Amino acid sequence: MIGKTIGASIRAHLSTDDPAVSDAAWESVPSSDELREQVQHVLDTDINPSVAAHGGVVRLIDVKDNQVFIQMGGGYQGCGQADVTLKFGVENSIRAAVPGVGVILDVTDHASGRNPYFTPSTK
Amino acid sequence: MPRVLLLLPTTTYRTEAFVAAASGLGVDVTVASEQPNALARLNPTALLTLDFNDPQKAAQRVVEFSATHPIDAVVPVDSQVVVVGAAISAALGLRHNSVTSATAAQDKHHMRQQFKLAGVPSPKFTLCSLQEDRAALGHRVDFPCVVKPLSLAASQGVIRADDQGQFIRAVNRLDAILKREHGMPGATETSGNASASSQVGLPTSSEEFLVEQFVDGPEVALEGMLTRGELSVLALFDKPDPLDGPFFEETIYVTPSRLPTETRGQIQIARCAEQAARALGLTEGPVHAELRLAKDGPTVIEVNARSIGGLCSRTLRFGTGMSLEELIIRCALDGEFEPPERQCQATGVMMIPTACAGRFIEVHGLDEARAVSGVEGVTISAHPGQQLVPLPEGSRYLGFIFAQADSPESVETALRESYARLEFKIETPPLSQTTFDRTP
Ligand SMILES: Nc1ncnc2c1ncn2[C@@H]1O[C@H](COP(=O)(O)OP(=O)(O)OP(=O)(O)O)[C@@H](O)[C@H]1O
Repeated sequence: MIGKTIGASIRAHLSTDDPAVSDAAWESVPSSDELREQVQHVLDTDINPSVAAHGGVVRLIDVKDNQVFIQMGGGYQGCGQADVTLKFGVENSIRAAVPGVGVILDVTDHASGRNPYFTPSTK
Repeated sequence: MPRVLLLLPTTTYRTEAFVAAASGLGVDVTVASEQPNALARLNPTALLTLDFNDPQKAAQRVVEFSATHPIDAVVPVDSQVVVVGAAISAALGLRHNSVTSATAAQDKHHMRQQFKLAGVPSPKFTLCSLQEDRAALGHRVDFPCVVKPLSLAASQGVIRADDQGQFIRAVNRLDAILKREHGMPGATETSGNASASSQVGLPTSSEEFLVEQFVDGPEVALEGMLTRGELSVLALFDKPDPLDGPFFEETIYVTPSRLPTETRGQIQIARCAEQAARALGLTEGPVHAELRLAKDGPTVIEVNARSIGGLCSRTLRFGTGMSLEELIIRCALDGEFEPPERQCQATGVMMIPTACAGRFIEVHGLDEARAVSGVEGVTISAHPGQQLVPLPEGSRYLGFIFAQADSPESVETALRESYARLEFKIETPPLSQTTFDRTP
């Protein structure tokens, strides 16, 4: 039901020449530099002091448009719980403090981490 | 908005998939682990710490939490937390497996007893103690047999023995594994687990083990969903590599099964799995069953109150692309939710076996392995520098290969071809220091 309604709206929009995201919407998004500064502030004041106690660090790698690229280091690289920390700790805090943020992407190479998974790999 | 509580042990492979599914559903999510999350202070309604080894205490804590943040569903993500999940659901008055049934599914002896009582086809078994004289025990068992621990997972410590000599060696080996897993003094760290003795869900006794009749025949794995005791089969996987022992390393899983669908094939397997779940008293949530197709019909090796482990669930997509984890969470939230059909394409996974002991240096041929037609992905979960321990002492795979094609045969071919292109560089210990014996 909902799928059909959404699909119809998307098709209707595509048949027009209007952009997918309106100029007005883009204008309301802060610049990459502003976002970078605000996200870095959240990392410095809220997140890193807490994760440092667990041997971890969260770095801001880049901001492109409103997409934020972060990297988890120290004990978090490859940690099985990194997803939880990212989603419910890091992402939540950044979104609460910096409203204009879009997707937050974890660019950590977890495969080369020190403790990726240490559970019996029961199938 | 409804709230789901995910029980995520810090040592599970299932975190990424369940977190993604729960986040994508647009429901409120609380994640509980046995260790405090570094950022719990910043988001206390989403990050909870629970003592998974004390189900009653954990349940009490969640009841208190739920007074301000009502919880609508509890989802234990793997076998380590099924008992605590049942206890929490009971305390909250949510529809779930009873604590008794969840406990029965966690203890292989209890499980075998329930199967026997209910007439579920399953191997003959004897409960033995490590205190007993092993030679005398060996005279009482019929060969071939399987020696196994009561509560470990991933085939760790499961060893086939064909004669008296092999039996004594198997029990000696299991004895050492159990001592180590239960953190007994003098035991050496070999399993490759960072801290095996700190794993949640392990019972304290390590003195008992099972000796079972070896059931010959091909093996299948059934993935199902129970709703008020009714089993919906989500997928049936063939395991094309023979599992004849002495150790039982899993490799390839392919679905749909190539077995006939009529009465003596897949339907009979599903009936047998449902009967087994009922014998344990399981009524709700995911089940993962392993069955052997013996001469006289399907025989249940095990039924667990959990979904498929490792990263294997990536092979499954339902309806218009729903993941297994999303399906599980939806079923937990809504008792009326009907699981959609699995997407019809043939898929499969290969768990890359740990062929030898040693230090993992690197893997070559990843690009070539990924380039094989039908291969969807290759994930190496072992990390450089990791000490690898093969079965029966170890319990981990090197990684996973995923494939999709137009037939189960093509999936199997793609997985084998991809695996053949991988070359693992492992620094093996000098012979004198080798403690891992591949003979039974
Ligand atoms: N009685 C038996 N006869 C034949 N094969 C057996 C028997 N018991 C165990 N096996 C083999 O050993 C494998 C692991 O056994 P079992 O499921 O009891 O152990 P587990 O550690 O719980 O494994 P997992 O967590 O992967 O389910 C089975 O999948 C099967 O191949």
